[in-house]
Amino acid sequence: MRINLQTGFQWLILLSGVAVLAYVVLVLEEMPRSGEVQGVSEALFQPGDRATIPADSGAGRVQALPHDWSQTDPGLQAGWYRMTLRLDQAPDSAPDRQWAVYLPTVHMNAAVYLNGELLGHGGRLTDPVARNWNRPLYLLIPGGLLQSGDNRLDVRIKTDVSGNGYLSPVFVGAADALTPFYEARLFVKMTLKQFITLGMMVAGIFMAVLWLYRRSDPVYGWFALTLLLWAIHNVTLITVNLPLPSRVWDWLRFTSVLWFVIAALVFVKRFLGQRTPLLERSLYSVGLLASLALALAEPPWLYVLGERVTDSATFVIGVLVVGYMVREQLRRHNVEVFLIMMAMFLVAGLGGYDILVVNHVIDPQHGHLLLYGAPIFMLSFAAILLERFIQALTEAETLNRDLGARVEERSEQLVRNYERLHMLERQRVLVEERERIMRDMHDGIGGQLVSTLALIESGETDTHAVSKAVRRALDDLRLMIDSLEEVEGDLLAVLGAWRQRVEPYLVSAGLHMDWRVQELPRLADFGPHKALQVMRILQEAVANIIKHAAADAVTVETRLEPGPDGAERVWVAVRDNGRGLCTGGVSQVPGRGLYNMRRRARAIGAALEVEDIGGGTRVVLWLPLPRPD
Amino acid sequence: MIRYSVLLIEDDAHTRARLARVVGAHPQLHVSAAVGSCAAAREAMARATTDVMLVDLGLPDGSGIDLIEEGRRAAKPVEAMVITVFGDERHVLSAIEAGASGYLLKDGDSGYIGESIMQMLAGGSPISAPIARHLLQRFRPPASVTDESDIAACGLTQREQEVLELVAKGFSYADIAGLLSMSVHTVTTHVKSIYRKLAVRSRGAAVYEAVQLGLIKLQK
Repeated sequence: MRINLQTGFQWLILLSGVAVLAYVVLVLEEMPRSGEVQGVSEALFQPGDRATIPADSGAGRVQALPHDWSQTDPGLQAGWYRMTLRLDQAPDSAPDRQWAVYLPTVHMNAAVYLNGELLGHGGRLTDPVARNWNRPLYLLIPGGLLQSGDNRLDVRIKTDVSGNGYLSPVFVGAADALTPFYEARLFVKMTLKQFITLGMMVAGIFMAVLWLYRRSDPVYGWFALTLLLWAIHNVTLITVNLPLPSRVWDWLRFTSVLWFVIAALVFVKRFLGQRTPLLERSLYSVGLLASLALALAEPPWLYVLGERVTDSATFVIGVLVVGYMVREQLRRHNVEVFLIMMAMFLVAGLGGYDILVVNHVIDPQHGHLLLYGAPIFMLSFAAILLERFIQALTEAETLNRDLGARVEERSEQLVRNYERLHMLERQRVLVEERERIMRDMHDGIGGQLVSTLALIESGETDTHAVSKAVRRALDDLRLMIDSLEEVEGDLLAVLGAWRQRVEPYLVSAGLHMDWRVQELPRLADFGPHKALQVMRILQEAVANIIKHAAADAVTVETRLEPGPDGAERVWVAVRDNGRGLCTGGVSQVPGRGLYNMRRRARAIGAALEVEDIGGGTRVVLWLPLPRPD
Repeated sequence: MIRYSVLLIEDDAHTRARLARVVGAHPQLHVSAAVGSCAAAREAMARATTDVMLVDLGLPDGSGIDLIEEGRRAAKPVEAMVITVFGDERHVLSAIEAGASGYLLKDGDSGYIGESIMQMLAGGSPISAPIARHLLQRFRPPASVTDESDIAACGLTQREQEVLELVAKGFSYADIAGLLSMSVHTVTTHVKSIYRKLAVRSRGAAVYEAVQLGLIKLQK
């Protein structure tokens, strides 16, 4: 058995509820018996609706009080009582010794006359008649009205089709002696009920708001609905002066209690974490049908339906609710459930009492008691629901903390992974770059050195040829070094570097360089390899010019030109003003050099054209531009 | 006809002999000494006046950079040119920062080497496209600076900037003179001025770093 704050709280609620109930019953049972007070428990009763005091005669039958009309005169809606009050001497007429008449229970309204003078009444006497079901009547007697000897007290009782007449014994005495009884009864039957109803409304709204923020948890919504429906039902019971026609009011009174019990059942099912769709749907149907039937039924059928049928349905559903709790308790043997079950027994007992009162089985002088069970019901469940809510919050907090730690751990892992990937990527780039450099060296300086070595080892001591071969190797090495410069796709920077290398050769060959480059867009993916290939192609072109063209000027041009497909490409041309291709014949086109130039162009996705331009040769290199995204 | 004395400092004997021959072939130049170490070079400078030193940066007993500095600070400053195999930007820039006026390729023929030295003595400074590109980057003002005068304060004038941009695209001094409507002499003056700024900047940076490191104490 788990003893904690929450079950302790539940015990407290249950015991306080029982204590309050005991207090209520005690107050309701207690009637004035002091010597100063005269209790009247016998009257002459004259049924019938009459606006004025019946003629002064011994008419009517002798009737003991309390008098419940449902037992003697069912269907009667109005009547007069005449009581005789014998005083040995007239009471003191001093203001602080005033006397009063006290009627603990009157259904539904009364007007009280003393010696033919109207003392007062409990509200409207015409439809809708004021309903003093819960309100005791207390009327002060003006000084001098009471005489020594016989005094005549006439009480007119008025009711309507919604309820039977009832009159408890009547008390006459000093106001000082009667007030405590009246006030205690008024407090218990009116003020306390108003407080409880207000509390239920506030709690219901609170729970409804909670539910609005947590739609996924319908238990709060059903609890709110239960409380609010119950509160509405209470309002229909404790209101004295009806704001609506009695028929509409009573429809609300009957339907609210029915829907309250239906909501309570669904709530309890949700609370226990159960779902019985079939049962719930049939309950909704019963509720709707009953609401409709009650709306259509004319009085007195409205009351027959409301009091017999609806109350029976309410009773059955109430028993079901309690039954579910009992079953749950039998299954789980849980203190929490046990305490709730006890609370429900209490509430169900009070409800049963009320049904018996409404159906005239029990004397109605104490009024409805179900309402006193509401705080027990409400607080028992609210304690658990709030505890669940707080637990959920705490869990969420813990979860958040854990989650924070896990996210941190995860991001650290990500950082580590990233670093590892970054390192692998760097290694990959290094390997690729190493391979590229080896490829480029193999393609250029390597081959040249091997060829030079062969030349030297052949035994011919042509120092000029050797020097030229070494120089070519050196030049290629310089181009490689230049190609390593980071140019960010700027082709002109590459061309500029190349020009610096080729210029001394042109000068010594007596060639003039005409530099006609134009600004170009940056080339995408233009790294050292491509830069080197471009420089080698141009180098080869210039070498050819020096060797074969017999020219005196070399022009280097760049611009943007649309290619065959219409897309713009970079156009790089090296042209001379020499012999051209045709005059010298095909043999002038250096086969191997041209083959190498084409191969290099293809390797970097470029195209190469060699053409005779009439008085010169032009080598054009087409480089692709990045596609505009 | 004035003949300029050239001090040649190169540790490889074959290259040294070849360069001495090539330089000496020019009618206005004569090689006063051809040495292979820093110590020998200092001796030679002390012994006779030198107009130009051609210096390799990597010497067995020290760096050519120091020799350039010493020559620059001598009573009669010695113009310096760096001799390099590749003319690659790392070598050349550090030489210019040390105060050299240019560089020569070690395998250059007599025409090229003689002309380059004479051009330098006439106030010209050779500069290659990759080096121009590099200088542009080095003098580039911080991205936050957009004001005209602030850009000037960062180093280069508008004209110098333009000259460098054209050099980086491969245009010769003559091309640039034509494009910017100025004389070739003005273009070379601009380049020379850029060189000086680079040297000053690097010395300034060196002093600043030295102060930061506590190597130099500034008098208040």
